Amino acid sequence: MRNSRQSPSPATLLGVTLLTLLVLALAPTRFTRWVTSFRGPVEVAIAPGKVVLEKASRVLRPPMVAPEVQRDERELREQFDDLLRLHLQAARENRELREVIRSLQAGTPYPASVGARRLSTQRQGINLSTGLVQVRGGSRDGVVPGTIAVAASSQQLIGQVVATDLATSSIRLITDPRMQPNLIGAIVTPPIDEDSLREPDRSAVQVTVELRATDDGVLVSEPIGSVGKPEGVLVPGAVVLLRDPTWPDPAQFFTIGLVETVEELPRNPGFIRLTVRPTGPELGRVGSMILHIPGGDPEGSG
Amino acid sequence: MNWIVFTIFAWIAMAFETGFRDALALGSSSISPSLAMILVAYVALWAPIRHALPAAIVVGLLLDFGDLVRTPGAEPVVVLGRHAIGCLLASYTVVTLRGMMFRRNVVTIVVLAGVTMALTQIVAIAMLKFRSLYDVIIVDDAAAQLGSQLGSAIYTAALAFIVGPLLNRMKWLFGFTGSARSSFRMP
Repeated sequence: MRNSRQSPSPATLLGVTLLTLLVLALAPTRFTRWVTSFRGPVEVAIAPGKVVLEKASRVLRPPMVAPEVQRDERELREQFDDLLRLHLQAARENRELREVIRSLQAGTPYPASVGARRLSTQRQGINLSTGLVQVRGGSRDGVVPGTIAVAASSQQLIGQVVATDLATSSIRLITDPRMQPNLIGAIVTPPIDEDSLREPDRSAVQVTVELRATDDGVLVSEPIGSVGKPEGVLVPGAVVLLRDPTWPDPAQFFTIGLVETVEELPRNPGFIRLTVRPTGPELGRVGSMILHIPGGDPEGSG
Repeated sequence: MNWIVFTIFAWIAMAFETGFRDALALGSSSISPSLAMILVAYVALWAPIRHALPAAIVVGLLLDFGDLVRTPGAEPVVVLGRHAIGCLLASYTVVTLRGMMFRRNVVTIVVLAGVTMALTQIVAIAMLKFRSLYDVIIVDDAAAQLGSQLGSAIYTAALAFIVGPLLNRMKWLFGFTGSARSSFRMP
């Protein structure tokens, strides 16, 4: 007599398995969605070997990026950074204008010296002995000592006009140690990145510093006590803006540069020193500039 | 067949499929070799049929879990069974053909690895395309996929030139006791 509890034959098992697989493979997703949940454990089981081989794969065959794509990415990143900087500058100006409106409503007289006339100009050369950059536009164009020069393609502060003749002006760069006064007041604001757009209030956080130009084309700060300072501000990439009452009003809030290094001072525990490097090309080589002439008509342009 | 050894080799093959296959892809195409298919062909060539077919199903199921299919809601889903059935069919084909082949010859594993890959992919893509006729899954150009996979089958055969002889030397590890002599006889 045949045993009714005999295990099924391999052929039967294979048939049942095949039928099950067919059903799973052809049944609509709404009935088989649950299968996907088993993928996690399978992935986990394979992961150790997969990770090792993926690393080997990246070493042996790094992802290929076409040179033109790389260039496009770099250009887009630069454009993005410039636009972001302009956006933050506009947001900051907006905030200040609101403050001015509030002051005016409170009866404070409007400061007459805020206005400035803009004059586009070109670099003519540099006097290596004095370190002064010569630009077109002189006294006959209304340029006066104290006029500030800003890069035409960005918000980078170049320097201040220290002498003029009829058709040209001489600019002392902000990175020149001979700049007088040699200490520049500035504020440090958080680095500009995608988070700045998501958190516009973040750019309002700032730390006041004093900078001194060195011979290396950078500016270093006076020692800053790091205790109690807001986080995420005194870090490499942070934006440094001019905020100095000894400079003319039109110069305020223009970019001095980006924080390059943050160095702890071993002899002064709890104090740090920042190194700030101007953005873009070396300041003495900037070709196109905008002169902001104090006291002029803000709408005027050269 | 030693199932523990098979499991270890299947694990290595799957890690290769998911982690290293892209490194061997031809240019920017998706034509790349499959170690898993060489394993299926090898097991089908040497193992008893009662082991060869379940082993093919196991590898096919692992491939199914590693190959997600898109849906309109951008939710990827696993379509379980298509590679498993493809591997099963391919394995059965190899089991049927092996009696007429010199199993120790490297060309045998090379040809059978290519055939295994081609059959598996034809079945898998056909089932997926058929299901897309009435289901929400999205299947991009099936003809292009098939062309790419048949290219991969040739590439897999080429890889079997290297991997096949290595696997043949590990027969004792798998516990394959079948005679190396083929039942094929020259007249």
